Order: sequence, then C-alpha cells, then structure tokens
Amino acid sequence: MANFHIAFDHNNVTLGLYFEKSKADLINHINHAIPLSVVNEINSDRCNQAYIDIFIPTINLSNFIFVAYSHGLENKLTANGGSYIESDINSNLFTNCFFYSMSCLTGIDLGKKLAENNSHTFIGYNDFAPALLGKYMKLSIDCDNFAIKKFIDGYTIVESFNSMKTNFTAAVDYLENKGEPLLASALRKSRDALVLYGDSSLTIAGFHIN
Amino acid sequence: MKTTKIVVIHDDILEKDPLLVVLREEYGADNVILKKKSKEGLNYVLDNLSQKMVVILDLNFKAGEPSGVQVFEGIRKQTSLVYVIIWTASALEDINREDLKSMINNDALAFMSSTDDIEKIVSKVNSASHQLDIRIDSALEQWISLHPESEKQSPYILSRDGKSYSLNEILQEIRLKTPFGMETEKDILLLAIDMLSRGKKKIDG
Repeated sequence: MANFHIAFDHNNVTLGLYFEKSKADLINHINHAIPLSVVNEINSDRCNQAYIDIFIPTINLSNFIFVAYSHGLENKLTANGGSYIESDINSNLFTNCFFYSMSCLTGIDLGKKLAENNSHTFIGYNDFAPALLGKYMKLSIDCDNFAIKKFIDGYTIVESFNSMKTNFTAAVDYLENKGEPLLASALRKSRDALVLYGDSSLTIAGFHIN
Repeated sequence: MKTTKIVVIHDDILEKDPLLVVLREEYGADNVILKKKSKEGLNYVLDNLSQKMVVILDLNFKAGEPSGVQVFEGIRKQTSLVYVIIWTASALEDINREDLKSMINNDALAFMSSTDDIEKIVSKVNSASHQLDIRIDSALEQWISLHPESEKQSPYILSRDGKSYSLNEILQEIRLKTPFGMETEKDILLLAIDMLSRGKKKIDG
C-alpha cells in the first residue's frame, strides 16, 4: 500500500479529457500493482491553493506520491485560472514527497524548489511538452505515465526515469515509421525535456504505509 | 517540371517577353504569372502563400499603384518565406536610401538590372527555387499536402499551455516565423539529428 495524491484538471477546456484519461490510466495501474493503496483524486474543483495549503500539511509527515496532470509554467502548476502549487508560495509543503509533474515547464523552477524544500524527488518537463491527440493519445499518455508505473512496479526512480526516456525513443521511432514526423518531433522534444531532481535511489518500498 | 510559382510583378513587360518565355519553358506555363498592376500582384502573392513562390518585382509603377517597395513590405508583413528578386531599370544609387535599407533588412534575395542577361535572371530564379525545395517548410508543405483537407484542418497537436494547432496552422506558423513556427522547425531538425545519430536514418548518396 502507498499513499497517492493525483491532481488532474479535468475541467480544462483543451486538455481536460487528456488529463482525466492520464489519471484513469495511472489509477488502473495502481489498483492492479498495489491494491489497497490510498488514492486521493484531486479534480479541478480542488486544484486550488486553499485546498493544497490545508490538505498537504495533514499528510506530509509520512512519505507520499503526488502526481500532477494540469497546465504549468516555470514556477507553478495552474488550474481554474490560477496557481495551486507555486515555487515561492507553497512548494515548501511537499516534504517527504515524490513529485511527478506531467505539466509543461515546471522542471525549470518549481521542480528545483521542491527538491530544495525537502521533497524527496521531482520528475517533470523543463520545456513545453506537447500532448498528442486522436489515435495517438494513448501512446502519449503511455509515455507520460511510464516512469511512475515502473516505480510502482518496484524499480528505483532513476531506473524508472531512464526507462521512460528509452520508451519515448521507441515511441519516436514508431511515429516516424508511421509517417508522422511532426508528432515524432514532439515526443523527441518531450523526451529531452525530462528532468529528475533529488534522491533517485528510492523505490516504492520506501513509500509503503501500514 | 518544377512546381515553384514565379510571379512577375512588372508594368512594363509583355506576356511575350523573352524572360517569361524562358521561365515558362522551365517552370510550365501555369506556374509563371505576370501581374502588370502591383496591387493585383501583391494580392496574388498573399492569396497563394501555401505555395512555393519566387517573386520578380519591379520598383516603379504608375501613379495610384503601390510602389515596388510597398509591395515588398506587404509581402514581408505576411511571410518571410517568399523569395523576392528586385528587377528594376533604376540604378542602385537612384533608389531611395530608406527603401534600400528596408529591402536589405527584409531579405530581398537579389537586385537585378533590366539590362542584365535573361540567363543571369533565370539562374537567380533557379537558385531561389532550389533553396525553396530544401527548406524545412517546403518539405513539410509537401508532406502536409498528402493529407486529406479535413485532416489538415483538424486539431493535430496540443501544446500543454492549451493551444491546439491543425496541420494548416502549423505550416502557417512556420511561414510567418512565429515563435511556435520557429520552434517546430528546430524540433524537426533535432529529430533528424537524433535519428541520424542513432542510425535510424541514413543520408542518401
């Protein structure tokens, strides 16, 4: 059993469906791999600073995993027209956290601040990371969720991170073979934007709760 | 037959002008267009931005028509990917200094004199056409043209800052050299380098 908190901006006009499907894909994997885990779904209604500021202090004395599926900027995660996690405002709340952010740009500043503020580890993108639509949406979500799933399966964070990059490369080659150079170039960009900060040696065993 | 459109905007030559005859032999009659009114010429170029195009532009037009420099600037407001060759009877020193600066700063490809040999002008056009062929936007244009129109207009890729782009919009962004367009060009080059470095692609020859 482990403690998962998944923020997903399902009401987002352009990417709500993508974020919701990403969350569902991850929860499906959690339920299969480590049943009885605690999974707290933080949908758009609760993706706000007030919720984060009140809720996170109630859980951060123990190790937990926080996953974000929403828009992002260099120093913040955003939903509902505002930020809900921001470098200089509430990133210090995420002590004892493995923070997995599938948002654009947050690897530039927010990820570094989280690691500096005693989050165990951050994985995210330090550039714009396009999402693929239509028939390649599942491929895109598989790429995004690859490392967190590997981590859940028992690999260290660095092993999970490296296998995520390898999987991105396989997806790039797949799309290129399918005659989709623009989509392949988008995934190449996402792959090279991946960053990992903090302790890379942790495994899911360190996050088990009684 | 080459697929580049050659648009000659000039009020002082005829359809039977030797330059047009030679260009039509090289590029096909349908691909060489003469516009004697500068406004019509500008409109034609702006209405056909999705095509590879080289413009041969006179500088001096009759009163009431936009000048060659105005046409040039009108094109550049919309795209930096149309090659423009200035073809004028004016001596370089007779051209207004500010006009000259505008043309140089906005990448006029060449200045040709109306006394230059046709061969020299055609050679410059061929060189411009070749450059268009090897540009990323041109390769993309060919690739995009293989898709059905409905697919070209549908959302194709979504930036996680919430902007979606169809294939047609991506091409337009590249042609206008917007930040997204330039980033897309760079990403395609980086993809090519990535695949070459991993041995997934080989350069012919």
